[in-house]
Amino acid sequence: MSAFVFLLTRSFVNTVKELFKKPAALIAYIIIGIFFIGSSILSTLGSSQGGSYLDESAIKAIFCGYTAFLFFIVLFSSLEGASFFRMADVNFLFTAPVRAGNILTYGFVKQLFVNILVMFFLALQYPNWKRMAGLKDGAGWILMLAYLLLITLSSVLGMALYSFISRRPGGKQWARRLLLLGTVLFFIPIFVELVKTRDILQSLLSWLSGDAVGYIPFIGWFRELLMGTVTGLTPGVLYNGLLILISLLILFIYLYRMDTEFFEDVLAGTELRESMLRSMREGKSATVPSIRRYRKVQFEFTMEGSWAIFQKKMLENKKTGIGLVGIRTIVMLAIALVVSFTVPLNNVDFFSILLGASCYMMLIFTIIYAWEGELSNHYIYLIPAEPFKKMIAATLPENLKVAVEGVLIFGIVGAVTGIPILIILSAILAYITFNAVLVYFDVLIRRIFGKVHTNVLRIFLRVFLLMLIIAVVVAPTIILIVITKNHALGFFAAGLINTLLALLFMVFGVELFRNPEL
Amino acid sequence: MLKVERVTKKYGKVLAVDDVSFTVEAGEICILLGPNGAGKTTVIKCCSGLLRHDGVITIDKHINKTIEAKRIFSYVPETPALYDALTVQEHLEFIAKAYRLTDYKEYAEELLERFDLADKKDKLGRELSKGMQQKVSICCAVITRPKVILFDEPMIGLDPKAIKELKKLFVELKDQGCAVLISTHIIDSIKELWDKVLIMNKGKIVSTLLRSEVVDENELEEKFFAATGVSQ
Repeated sequence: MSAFVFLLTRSFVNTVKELFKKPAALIAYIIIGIFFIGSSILSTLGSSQGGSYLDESAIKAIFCGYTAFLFFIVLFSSLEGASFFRMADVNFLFTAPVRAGNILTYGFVKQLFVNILVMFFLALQYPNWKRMAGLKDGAGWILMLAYLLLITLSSVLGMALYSFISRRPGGKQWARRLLLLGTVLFFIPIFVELVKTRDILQSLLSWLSGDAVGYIPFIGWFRELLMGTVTGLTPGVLYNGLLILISLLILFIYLYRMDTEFFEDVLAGTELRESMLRSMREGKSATVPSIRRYRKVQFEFTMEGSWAIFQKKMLENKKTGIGLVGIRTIVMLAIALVVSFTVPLNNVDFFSILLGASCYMMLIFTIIYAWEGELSNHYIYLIPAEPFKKMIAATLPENLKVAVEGVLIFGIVGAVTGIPILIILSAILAYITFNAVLVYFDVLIRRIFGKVHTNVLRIFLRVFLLMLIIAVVVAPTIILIVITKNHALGFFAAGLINTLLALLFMVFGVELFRNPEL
Repeated sequence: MLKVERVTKKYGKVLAVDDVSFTVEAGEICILLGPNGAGKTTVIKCCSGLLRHDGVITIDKHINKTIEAKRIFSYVPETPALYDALTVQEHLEFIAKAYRLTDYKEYAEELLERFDLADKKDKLGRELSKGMQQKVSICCAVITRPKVILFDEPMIGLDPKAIKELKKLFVELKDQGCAVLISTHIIDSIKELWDKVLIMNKGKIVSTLLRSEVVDENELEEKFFAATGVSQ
């Protein structure tokens, strides 16, 4: 195993060394570290006055929702291939005279190491959680252990599932159907409750914190284990923890005993993982399988200069089936409509919450924009056109898509719930310009930090952006609405500030297209 | 036509290109020859404006990053970078429109024919082999009829027929008055082609050879090994 230990330690040391060669990224990481540790210390200082803001069933539902979300995502993505390894591991380790089980252990340790790092950052936020949820003393250890087990078990389960189905003809299709069925069955009780109560929050709480979910393997077990943070170490918590450990052991033995058979599956999974990582490095989405199907479409380029870039992107979208109205838009619209009839709030208040929630969802879920894919190809830099025009052309499809999304969501929900037209229009403006802030903030951070470290760094930088937005957009908007009692004016002001922010980011970010470092 | 003056490029503390100067005149084929890691690709990328650098690079008296310069030069990267979702034909159309070309269709057909791509023009970029992608990359660069063209290891991955066709293309470009800069580490691949050879080692140009000064073709190989300090 000494070779594996060497590989792990050297990789870590070299990664740290590499970080020191990138002063901008290093400074950003230091600031992030200070922010996390600082907020942690501040929370600890203030914790004596704190009490629980959430009741037990809400905490239970949050734990359950998070666990279910993670398991469904991991299991669905594992159907395409699951692997701990990188291609270098496959090339060097799998051809070396080493036992397959040892290689698997190495992959497992590597995965654990990544998870421990993530856990470290989460642990720094523990005082906050403790204050908000009124956690018991020693709950931090349960939380960390549960998180580690959750991430590890979901990864191992994904690998085992992939290994199991990949050697059975039609296995993937059946597994996908069963998973879909399982997902639907899991959510059906929420809809049944919703029909009865017409209250979405109550319906979610009653199912996710109900006793029945506790019996669902993995999801229920983890919910009960995580509840140990609130209830303390009860026999129930220990029992569920034991069930998880036994499952993990069984899955690990299953993979370990596959020996060389395992390699073939790992190779396929690793190839997919590599292409996803490459895709992420190039700024493309990693959530969609890299082996996409492209439609055949009749198309003729009619625009010239930088606008040809825009037209090319629209052609690519057309081929991948990404229209101006995507699945996200439809899902958001459907949820907004359902919620609009089931939340006991007045219509304008609900509309304001919808705008805030939609913007927040955009901030969290749109981590990688498609425009960044352009940067991996030299043509965008070489095309003889103004850098500013190229930036606009490359980012316009994203802005257009969100513009359509904004018009549909706020237009339809506003019309259905009888919101005045001025409020609808100003909400659409605020939504579209908020997207522009995110897009051009990404242009700016790509300009400052380059393509290395961006995907991890970007998430943290989004937190800073969120704070900036709260300070200069959200707070003034709320104050304006409270003072004037005029929602349209508030949203319009938000749109205006967003536009100014986006323009500021554009001015500083355009250098990316003028002075590249490809 | 292409003028490189005192160009230096550092990657962190690593000095990749150290105070390099040279010119490539119109109708001249200039070869950047050097071992792996000599700095050839970095020089080519600096010339293309894809890297930030110290020093001045002009293309037909325009700074290389200006729109005027971009209109008249083309670049073929070492690793072909095509768009996954675009067909061969669409790549050429996209470049033609982006460069505001007119009357390009006939020339596009001719290029596709020459590089055996005519029957593959409806294939997607990602469906092509590396060699095929390189051919498309070359066609995209040439279709703009540039006055300066930069090739980075252009023959890697090409089949013998394509290499032969590419060599013919180099000569045609030269005859049309284009300044051609080619980087390579394979001496045999550029014999009979070159007008000027710049031998690079450790980021510097260590030797310059002109065709008029060399009597025997083998002299190039001897000079290369002597200049790079490698014994044969």
